[in-house]
Amino acid sequence: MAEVRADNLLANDWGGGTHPYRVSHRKLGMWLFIMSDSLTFCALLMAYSYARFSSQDWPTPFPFSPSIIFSTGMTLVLLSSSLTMVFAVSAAKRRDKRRARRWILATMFFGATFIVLHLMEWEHLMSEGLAPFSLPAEWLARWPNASPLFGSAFFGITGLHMFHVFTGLCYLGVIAARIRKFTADDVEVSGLYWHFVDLVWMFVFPLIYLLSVDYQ
Amino acid sequence: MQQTKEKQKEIKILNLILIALAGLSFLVAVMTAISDGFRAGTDDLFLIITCLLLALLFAVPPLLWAKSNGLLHNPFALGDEAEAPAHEHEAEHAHTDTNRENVIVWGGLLFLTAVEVFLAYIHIQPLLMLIILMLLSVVKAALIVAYFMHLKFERLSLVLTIVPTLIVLFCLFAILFPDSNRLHKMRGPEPAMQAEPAEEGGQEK
Repeated sequence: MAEVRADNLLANDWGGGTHPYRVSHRKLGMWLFIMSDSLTFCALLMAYSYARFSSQDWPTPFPFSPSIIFSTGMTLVLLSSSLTMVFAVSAAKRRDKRRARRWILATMFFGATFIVLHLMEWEHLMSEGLAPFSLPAEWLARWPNASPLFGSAFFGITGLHMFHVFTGLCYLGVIAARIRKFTADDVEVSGLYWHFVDLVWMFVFPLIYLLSVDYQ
Repeated sequence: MQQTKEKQKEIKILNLILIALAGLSFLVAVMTAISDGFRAGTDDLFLIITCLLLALLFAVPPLLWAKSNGLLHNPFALGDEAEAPAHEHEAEHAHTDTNRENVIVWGGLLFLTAVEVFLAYIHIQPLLMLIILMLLSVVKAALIVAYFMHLKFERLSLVLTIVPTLIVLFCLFAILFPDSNRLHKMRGPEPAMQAEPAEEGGQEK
């Protein structure tokens, strides 16, 4: 009969026991969620890439100025929000909850800015006439064989990403509002989610914007 | 390490199954290389890479078990750090100047973004642009995962659980590109356009 001893439990990462990977169960749960969510985004990006590569014509409607400059600004906003989130996590680890809350509020501010900028861009494209399954008339004049899937790819991928940003804002809002009841580990777990959102944007931005630049 | 005879037997069976799966994946990779010989181009390349990665993944738990039982003479050089809990690493790390490090990583991410935007500005050839952008995005993703998400300072076992998944994901992402390219070339000429087949094939991406 094996005795339950401390060194038995800590003996081996792969031996299971009560401390797999030596991280808290919430953190491990968040990592597993992140892995599954990245599969979702990968599937969407794969569908978009496949449709684009196998079509004869695909709209490239973003002129460098103002569209690419605008979306680069959005990228900078999201990267800055990641930085403030890292500061929030390290403040929480130092048990400085007030400062952690302030950094979380800064992260939320940048995240909200990102959503506002993105909605402005959506509004601009929709006013041009872009719909999920049809292209504006001027685009069809320029790219006559273009697939009508540009709208659904664009709105689907960026819309799902924006939904994640919005959910992240709600999540961070709850953490910031009741930070006295949360531990540094909880702040770190929310930081993991926020960095995942930034990570996805690192792929979405080049694949959707930088490969669709209008050079004329 | 005191474990019951039952648990040892379970571990032995698990290790055997994993080694069999690793051998099978490796075999598939080798058979693909031998029989097809890269005739299908990047299709075969990505399939072989994925199979090799899977073989490596399956082989890791038995290898680590063998190492911890002293069966391997060529250690993976984890040393005494292997037994320390993860939060001790963090405690050491927090005393150093982590905020400065994070700002440097952020600066690196900004720089890589600037490189990508510059490449978009100077308008290089689309396929080259795609490859460079994907590589840079993977580097940016690696920076975020390692430093901001703190994975660099976690246990090796957690890293091995997450990173190979993301790599296999990327391979699966890329494995269908040759198919879409081929689909593009397989279309006949448009009747209304009266384009020549050569023009169809040249009109890529």
